[in-house]
This record gives sequence, C-alpha cells and structure tokens, in this order.
Amino acid sequence: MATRVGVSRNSINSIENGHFDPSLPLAFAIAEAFGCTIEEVFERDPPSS
Amino acid sequence: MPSPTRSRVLALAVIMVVPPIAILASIPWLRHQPDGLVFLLTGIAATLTVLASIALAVINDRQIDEWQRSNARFSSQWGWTVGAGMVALLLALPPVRDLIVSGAAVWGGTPNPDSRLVITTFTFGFMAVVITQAICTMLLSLGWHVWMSRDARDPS
Repeated sequence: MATRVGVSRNSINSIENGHFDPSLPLAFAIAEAFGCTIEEVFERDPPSS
Repeated sequence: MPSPTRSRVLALAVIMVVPPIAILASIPWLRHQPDGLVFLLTGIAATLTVLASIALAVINDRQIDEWQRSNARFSSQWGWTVGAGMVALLLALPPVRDLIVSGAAVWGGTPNPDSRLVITTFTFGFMAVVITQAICTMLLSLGWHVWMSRDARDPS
C-alpha cells in the first residue's frame, strides 16, 4: 500500500492506528488504491462534547 | 552505481563537513596569518557549509512524505526551543562555564583568557543565533502567510 500511494510504511502504519491524519490528496490516493471512496475508507471522529 | 541524487547528497555532505574540519585542523597555521586572510578563509568555509546544508535540507524535504515532514516539523520546532533553553540553563552551571573557558583557551591559543570576557562573548554569540532564528522565523511566517493568501489560480 505504501509503495502504491508513494509514502513510507510509517505513514500507513500511523494512519491505520489512528495516530496520524492523512492530507486530502493522500486520503484520495489511499481510497483510490482500495477502489473505494474516501467516506468508505475513512470515518470522521465523533465530535468531542 | 549510485543514483544522481545519492551522488549529489554525498558531494554536498562532503562540502558541508570538510570546510569546518579544515579550518579546525589549520588553526595552528591560521594563528600566524593576518586577520584579513583568516576572516576570508573562515568566511568561505562558513558560506560553503551553510549553502551545502541548505541544499541538503531542500533535497531531503523533497524526498520525505507528509508523515516524515510532520515528524520533522514537530522535532525541529521543539528541538530548537528546548535546545536553546537548555543552553541558557547550562550557562548557569559553573562546570559548563569552565569548560567553555578552557575550550576558548585551547582553541584560541590563549593560556589564561579572561573568563568573564569569554562567557560574555559566548552568551552574545548564542543570543545572536537565537535572535536571528527568531527574525528568520517571523519573516518566513509572514512570507508563507502572504503566499498562501494569494488569489486562486485561474481554473482555465
């Protein structure tokens, strides 16, 4: 995945673990790699009350 | 065969490291040279080192991804801040001050330098670095603000 979207494995690992929010272009690239839309891959954090 | 980028990085690293080492190694010879020549050679060395390090920073920045860039931003922002604070705190410790004075004695070729003068000069040098960094940071922040606030590109 990291190679396909042109970033490091650390980037993908941090995104998977929820420690790092990708930029919009990277989010699009990841969604495209999965053949999905951004909404299908990423979900919004619940608003903190 | 190394890639062009790798060769360029290696060449820049050599340009960055060799001049200060050459200056340090030639201190015994430089001591006997006129001030003008010493300032010229150290100025050339400093310029080469700074230009090479800037070029290396630009190359590195182009190669890293956004996670690594975020890491670099975090670590440099806090590293510079904490490092500057630590120098200010360390300067209050007598052993550190003695180390600076003894370093000045060895490298400056003066057996018994005025310790107050050495520490004052060191402090002024440190302040100059911090103030210059603060000014450059403000100017770059202003430039970034202006650049990012420019009009949208014509979609056609």
